[in-house]
Amino acid sequence: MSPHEALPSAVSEPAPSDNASSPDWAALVHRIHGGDTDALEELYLVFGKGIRYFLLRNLGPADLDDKVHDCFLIVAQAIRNGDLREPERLMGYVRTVVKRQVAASIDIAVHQRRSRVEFEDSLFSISDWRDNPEREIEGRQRIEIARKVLNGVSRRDRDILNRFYVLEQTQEQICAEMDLTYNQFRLLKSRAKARFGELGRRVATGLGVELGKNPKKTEKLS
Amino acid sequence: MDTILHGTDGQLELYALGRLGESEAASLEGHLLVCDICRQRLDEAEAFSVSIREALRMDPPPAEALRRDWFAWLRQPRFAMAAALAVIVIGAVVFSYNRISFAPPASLQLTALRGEMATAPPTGEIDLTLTDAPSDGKPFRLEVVDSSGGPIWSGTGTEARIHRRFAQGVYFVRLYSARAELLREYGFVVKK
Repeated sequence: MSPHEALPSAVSEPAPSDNASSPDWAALVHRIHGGDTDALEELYLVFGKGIRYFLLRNLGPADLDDKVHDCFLIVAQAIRNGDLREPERLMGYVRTVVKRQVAASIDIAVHQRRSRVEFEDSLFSISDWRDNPEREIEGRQRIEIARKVLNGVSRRDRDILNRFYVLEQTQEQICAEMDLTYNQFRLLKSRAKARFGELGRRVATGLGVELGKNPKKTEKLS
Repeated sequence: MDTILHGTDGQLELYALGRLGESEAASLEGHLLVCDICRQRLDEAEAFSVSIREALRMDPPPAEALRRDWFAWLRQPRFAMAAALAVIVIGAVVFSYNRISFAPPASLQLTALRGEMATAPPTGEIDLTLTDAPSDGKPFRLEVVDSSGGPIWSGTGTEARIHRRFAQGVYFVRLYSARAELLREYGFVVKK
């Protein structure tokens, strides 16, 4: 699929209207292949943040710069060597390189953990980077906010949310079984999400939302 | 220069929950590589959806709501049609079953064929003569049984001289056709 095609979707939800213009991938690849150093810099500007985002999301902050650099080198080298058969699919190729890098890093981490357990005979293990205390506190705060949001919705709306988020029913199934239009379903989720965002901002600025107490007493949702 | 289309809220949410289809996820990931806006939207969608999911797991809906859900599928039109069809089929089966096994009670009007039975004193020999034996069904077989159906004697014809000691009690004489059909049954009493 071309990177510029519309993302396939069964839904017609609004997305941000300021759709971005993307570079002409084939031209960019051609310039890099021809030894244009500006084109290489352009490549880094376009993909650098995205690569960093995916690596951070999947692997955590450890050695992040090195991993980003490795990905970028692989892509640049492939372009220079003329290995990209379809230059217009550069975005897909970069994605593949990042995914391979993630998989390889996970393999290495798993192997290291096994080796350390075997040789050191201890319970030492490489913990998931998401398990760090700060993230844990943030996560707990968000769950408390979510509980407040849920406390403010009707039993029926809560049931709908439960079906979607916990029971993993599709929106089509939920709408059919609960006699809902798709717009009603979307509206329910957007309201809950908006309320979640609003309470989150109030928590962040310390404006009158107490977490960890009975939501009914501390915050009454409209 | 082409335009990159952003992912929808639904796509981002499903991606954050790990429920977006593989091809859609691949397209979205490609887009996320180059779109700051969608990366931020994905973070927000993930924060919300994962937190709501965990909160719902911590405080599940009341049990009665879940119980009610078990029957929700019945309200779907396709299941309603299937249920209606099932009711018709079951009704037809029950109806025909009733016709076969539970037909209306038969009406029988019975007339006593024997009232006071012939009597004989306890003896070692009895002469039997069946006066109303049918004309068809010969050669006949004759059987004498006691009151509990136990066989006492058997022979052929409609007349017989039975050399046997008959104690006091009730006896029955059965007349069978050549094809072993029961044609008549008689009774007599041996008493002092």
